[in-house]
Amino acid sequence: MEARIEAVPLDDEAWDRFAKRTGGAAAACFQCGVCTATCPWGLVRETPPSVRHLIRAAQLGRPNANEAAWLCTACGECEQACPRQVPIAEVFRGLRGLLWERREVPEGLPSVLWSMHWNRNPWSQPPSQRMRWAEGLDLPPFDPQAHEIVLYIGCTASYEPRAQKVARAVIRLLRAANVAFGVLGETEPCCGEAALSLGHRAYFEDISRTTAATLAERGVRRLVTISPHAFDVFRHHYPPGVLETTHYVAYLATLAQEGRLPLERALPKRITYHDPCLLGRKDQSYDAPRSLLEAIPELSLVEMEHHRENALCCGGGGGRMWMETPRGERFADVRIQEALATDSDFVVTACPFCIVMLEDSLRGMADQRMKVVDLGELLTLAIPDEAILA
Amino acid sequence: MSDTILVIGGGIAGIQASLDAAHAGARVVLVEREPTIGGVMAVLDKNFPTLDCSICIEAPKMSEVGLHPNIEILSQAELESLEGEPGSFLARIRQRSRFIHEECTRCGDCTQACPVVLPNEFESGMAVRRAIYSPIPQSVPGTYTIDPKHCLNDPPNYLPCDRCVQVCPPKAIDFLMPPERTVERSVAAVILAAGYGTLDPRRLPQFGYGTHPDVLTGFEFERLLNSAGPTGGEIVRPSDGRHPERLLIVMCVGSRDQRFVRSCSRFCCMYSIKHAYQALDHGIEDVTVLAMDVRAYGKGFDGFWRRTEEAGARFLRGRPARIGACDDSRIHVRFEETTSGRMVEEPFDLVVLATAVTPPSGLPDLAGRLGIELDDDGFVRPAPGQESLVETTRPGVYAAGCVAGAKDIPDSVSEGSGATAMALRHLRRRHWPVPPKIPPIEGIETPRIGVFVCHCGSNIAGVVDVEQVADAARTLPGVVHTAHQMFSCAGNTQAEIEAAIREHRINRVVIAACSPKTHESIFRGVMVRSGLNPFLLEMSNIRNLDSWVHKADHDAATAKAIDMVRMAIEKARRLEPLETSDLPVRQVALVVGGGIAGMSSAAALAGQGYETHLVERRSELGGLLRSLDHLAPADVRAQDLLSAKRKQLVASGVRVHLNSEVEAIGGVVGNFHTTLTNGQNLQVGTVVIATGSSPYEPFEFGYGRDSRVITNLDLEARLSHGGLPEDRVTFVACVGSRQATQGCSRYCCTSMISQALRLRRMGKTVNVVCKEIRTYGRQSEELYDEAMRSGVRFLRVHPDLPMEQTASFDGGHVEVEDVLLGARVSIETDLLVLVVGLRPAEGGLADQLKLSQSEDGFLMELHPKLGPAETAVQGVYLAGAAQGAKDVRESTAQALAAAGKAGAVLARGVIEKEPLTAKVIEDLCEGCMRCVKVCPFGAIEATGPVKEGKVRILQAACMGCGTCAAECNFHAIEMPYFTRDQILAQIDAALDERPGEKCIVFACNWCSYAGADLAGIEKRQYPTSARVIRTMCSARLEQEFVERAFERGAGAVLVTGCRLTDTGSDCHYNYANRLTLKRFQYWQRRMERKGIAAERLQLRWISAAEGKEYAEKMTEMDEVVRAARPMGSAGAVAGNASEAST
Repeated sequence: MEARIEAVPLDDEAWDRFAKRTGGAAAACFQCGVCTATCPWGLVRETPPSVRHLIRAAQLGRPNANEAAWLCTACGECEQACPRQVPIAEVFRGLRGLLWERREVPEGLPSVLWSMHWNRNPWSQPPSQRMRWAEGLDLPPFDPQAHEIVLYIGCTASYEPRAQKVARAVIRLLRAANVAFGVLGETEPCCGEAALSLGHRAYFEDISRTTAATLAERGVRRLVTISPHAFDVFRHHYPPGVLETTHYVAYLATLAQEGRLPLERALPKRITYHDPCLLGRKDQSYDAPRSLLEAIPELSLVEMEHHRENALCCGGGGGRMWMETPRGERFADVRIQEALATDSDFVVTACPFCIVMLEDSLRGMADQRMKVVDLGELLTLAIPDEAILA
Repeated sequence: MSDTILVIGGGIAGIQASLDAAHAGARVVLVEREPTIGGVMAVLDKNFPTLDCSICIEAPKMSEVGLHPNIEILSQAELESLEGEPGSFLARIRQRSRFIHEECTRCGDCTQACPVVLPNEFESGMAVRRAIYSPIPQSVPGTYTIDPKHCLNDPPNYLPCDRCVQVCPPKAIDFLMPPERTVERSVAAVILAAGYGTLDPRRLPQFGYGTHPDVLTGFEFERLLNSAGPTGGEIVRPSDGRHPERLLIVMCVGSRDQRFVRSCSRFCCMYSIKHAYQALDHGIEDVTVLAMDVRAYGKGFDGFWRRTEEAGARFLRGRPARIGACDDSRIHVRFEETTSGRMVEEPFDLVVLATAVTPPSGLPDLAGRLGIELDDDGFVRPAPGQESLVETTRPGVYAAGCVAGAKDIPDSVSEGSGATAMALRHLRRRHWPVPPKIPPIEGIETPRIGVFVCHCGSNIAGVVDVEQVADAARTLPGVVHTAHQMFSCAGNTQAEIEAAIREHRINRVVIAACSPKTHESIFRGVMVRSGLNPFLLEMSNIRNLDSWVHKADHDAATAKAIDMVRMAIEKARRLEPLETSDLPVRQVALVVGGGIAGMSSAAALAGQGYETHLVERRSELGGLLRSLDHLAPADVRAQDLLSAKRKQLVASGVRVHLNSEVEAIGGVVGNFHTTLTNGQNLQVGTVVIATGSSPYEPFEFGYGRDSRVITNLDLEARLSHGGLPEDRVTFVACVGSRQATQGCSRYCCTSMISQALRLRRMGKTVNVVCKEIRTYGRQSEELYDEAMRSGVRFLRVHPDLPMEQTASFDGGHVEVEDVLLGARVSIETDLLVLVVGLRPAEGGLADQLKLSQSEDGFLMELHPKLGPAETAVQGVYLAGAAQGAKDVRESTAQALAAAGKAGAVLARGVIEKEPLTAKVIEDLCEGCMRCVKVCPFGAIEATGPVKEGKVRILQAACMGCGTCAAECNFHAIEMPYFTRDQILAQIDAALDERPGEKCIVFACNWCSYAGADLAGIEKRQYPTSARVIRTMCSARLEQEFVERAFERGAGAVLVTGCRLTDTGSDCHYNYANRLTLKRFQYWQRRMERKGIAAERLQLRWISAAEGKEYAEKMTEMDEVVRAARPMGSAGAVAGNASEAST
């Protein structure tokens, strides 16, 4: 017999609390290990965090919340492979919640939440500057009578300079398609995604309650978002049946289908498309972006080794945007290599986080021929000038 | 009122249902969608855990269905509608044409001529077929069929291809047949046995099927293993034809998966273990099986798993994340080995996926036409409030086999029989085929032999000079007439033979044509119609055993045919008329044991109209069920079920004997005499043993001393009396199961989970300590899922240790190592529930009836696959846990099966016995009683002490293998139709000329002779030296036969028989071939002493599927014969008796 090891007691109370926190997410797991084996951390670490083991510990009321709990990028690869359909990202958020309770949180994360509190955005930017990016664009405030949709800019596209360009591009496209839209302006509320993905459930619920009330007050029903993260939060974590949220890619694809988007100008480029996790695996929206790309004359699309269902995460989801990932462990580095292997002029994506992560990685590469662009940006190149000016 | 049962689906469940119904005197209409019956079992290689050759054991049943006068097969047909009520339904059936008349001789010329090449669905698409074809060599009906969708003659037919029409010798192909017809049949009941489908693994793209050619399904792998399959039994990679070095088998592909099939597919674990075993056997040294749980739940399954592991297979826990190609053409598989938590990424050469079982295609439509409901899982919904799955929601319509949820062969067979027992209750009349009354030919004492040589088109005549064969036969004494015919079996030619018999007063007939296995019954019909006893016929198989396998050498083939016909004539000369005998049957049934199985069996028997006695030793019926509250997973209350059963017993008029046991029992089928302890005597025709099992009485964990430790049965009692005060309940599974020879107790996982769930719903904290969870039954996996989601926690401990060594209980805490966490955990526990296994019940009944026991002490069934409810003793049947641990549902199914089997015997009032049973020549019997000991069926009785008494054969119990005759040193036992005299005459005739160039091959009727037939069907060429002599069983062979062959100068002698392995035997006579092996070893030593080299006398087991092996062995024996000719060389050669263990 092996040396007698002290047995760990099962903590029924911890189990109950954890089960409540996650809606019993971990309970159904029968420990096949498929999650651990699919986890993209396996690409950058010899021993990836054992997703299964974390779930097991949680199942037995020994939630083993430690550094590993912060690694999940909520990419959804494991959920897609899970025969039990365990909402694994939810389990991770639950584990993070325990760590918030125990004040065992990586440096920098509390200030993200504090910024959300003081600034109504996680970017530590003054709320008064929310609309600075739109100077000169003459964006109409949303009017429920006059507008088909609200364009929800979100905190990232409002403040992050790279993402701001995406917002501008989307606006040009909406105008080219003659969409009657409005924006919420300086008082646009934060969706709360950062609090949710960092596992602070209580605070997220606080934010989402206020935001939902604000949106209702302003008569918002149809939202088109710039960020897949805002899209996902409104779609899956807000009270169902109130808001009709679409990501701009799906919205533009519909416009193109209706013949409202004049993608007429030839663009003789070779591109590859990076599926953002929340649009791809989470929303199964693989064809919409590709249909838009295929509509551009003379553009050729080359797929990366991992694409569609198997697309590799950029590493920025699940709150990882707010945490430091050392070089050598960045999924985006691997992803950029895959993109370079396609010999494309552009790697195209449709998420501000993906753009930030991928550009960051590309910057470190010797090969600089390729550029990271947003799908919206690329589409504007295919729109004739007259249409834009009109 | 109709007297017919409609069976839908001709897989093993439908075959069993049809045969049981026909044996019970019902007429049967068997509707099969495919061109042949046989179902999945016909395309499997071996069966687990005994490694029986699948087609070898199924083919005899298939041909029995094909030949039974009460059974009408409608192949390529589907039910269109069913109207009316039980007892008088009207079924409308649409049948697609075969476009070929029954004159088809199965020669295969058309197939050769057909220019259309298509994937063969009976080979899982791994081989090809033509547009005109026979799906499998053993097809029933045997007539070829045309696939009109692909045939070039398909309308509008402006430019007919007609190649097949031109080459067909009997002109049997007719494109003008209407492509479809609709028939109506009045039926009393319906048995739905439509089988199952499998999930298309392409739906799980990460598993690589369809993108990598070397990722196969289990069924494809099955065909690779089969020696009659596309690769001749070689395991090769489809991509490059190389032998794989590393094989991975993946379980649960789509099963137990919320996205595809939520339930467990039940039999894949075992066939995957079998695949691992066979892969090792085929020389692949590196075999890995990846599973989450290994559900080896059945009798002998755990043992088979252990043996496979010992043989070198690596069993790992996990599930692949990705199976994909890599640059090096190998398949890379990534998974977490969950016991150690290790990440694995390994290359394999071949990957086999055990794909999920789904309802058969088209079931929702069919269910609609039948008017029955399906369940959420897509399988047939059982009637509410019943524990069996056999009754559907429409009265008079029954389900059997996988259409009512995935199950393995014996469980399907059980349900087939059980459904029949239920269906028979709707019949008012029974029919038994009446032989035609023809005035007998007189003066048969002096043989007047007629010889008919068949051309079989060019199949025989293209190689063998049939005229020369007929001429040679004419010169032999006693031959009064010879003829050669284009097709002896054709309808008009049969009439010619009849006319010749009458004209020439022929009284012994030799047909030199094809195999007696397929055609003997046809020619016996000719005999009967000519007024001759059918046993005065001998067939000489000059097609399968000669012309088909010696195409290149016409002269040698002709010489061999002449030898073969001479052998047949010499046997025919010695044939005697034999009469089938009718044994009287008392139409009274006895059921011993009044648990759920006994009650169900008795009610089903009485429901069929037989006087039925149910004996129960306790004062109340119900057995173990009395102490149960809830039955899982059907959510039936045990007491409700019991009172329903009691009502059934009363309503059907079962005579119940409480507080009584069987004190003494003796006799044979049809007439058992029984004395009960209450003094009553019963004369019964059949006995159903339903004596159940007893729960294991634990000593572990302080049970009996510590009031906080109870069993699951104690818990059940407490639950039925209300709630529990304890808050924290911990279950320990597998107490008394899965250790040493004791296998899985089957019932406990599901039952335990149901209890756990009930406690959880009361708000208790519930933990379960288990080795793994085996919720294999229908809807059990769903229950397991529900329990987990409700918060019942399952802790997995090491599976190889008994529970008390893995877990400890100190009164307040259970301590175990959870292998999934990789740590010891301590579980606060107020109440410890030991989930106890089932052990065989004790009792002397088995001894009195000479029933044998399996390794685990439960009563042994006749055959683990095809005879789950029968015993080796005819007339004695098994129901419920007496045969092995079972849950209530399985016990009920088997109980119905036993009732069906017993009912079939009782139905007619007599049993017809083929006259092939042993006969004692009393004058010669010395009373040594050796035969009594060796009889595999206990069919020989001593009439007195050794040396003083004689022996008596119990005709009813004798199965005709001939083991006794071979054992007798005094020639005091004779086997009719296979007499010593006849066999010696065949040996002499075979060795009449140039004996040194010949090898005498003894072949058994069921396996090796069928294997020889198959070599012919597959046109495998081998040398002409073999001369085959057929007996029913290899155990019939006497030492004198071997001695005589060598005395006459035979080059070699080869003994063949059904396969015998460490794990089982294909033998059709209850392991009689074990004796063959023993005797053979003795003969070989003895012959060696006489200077006959060991290589000249060999033994080789050959299954009915091993045509290739047969041909190879014949080639090898030919080399022995050639080597032996110059001088009798000495020295043993490997590959004879030692093969018995391979």
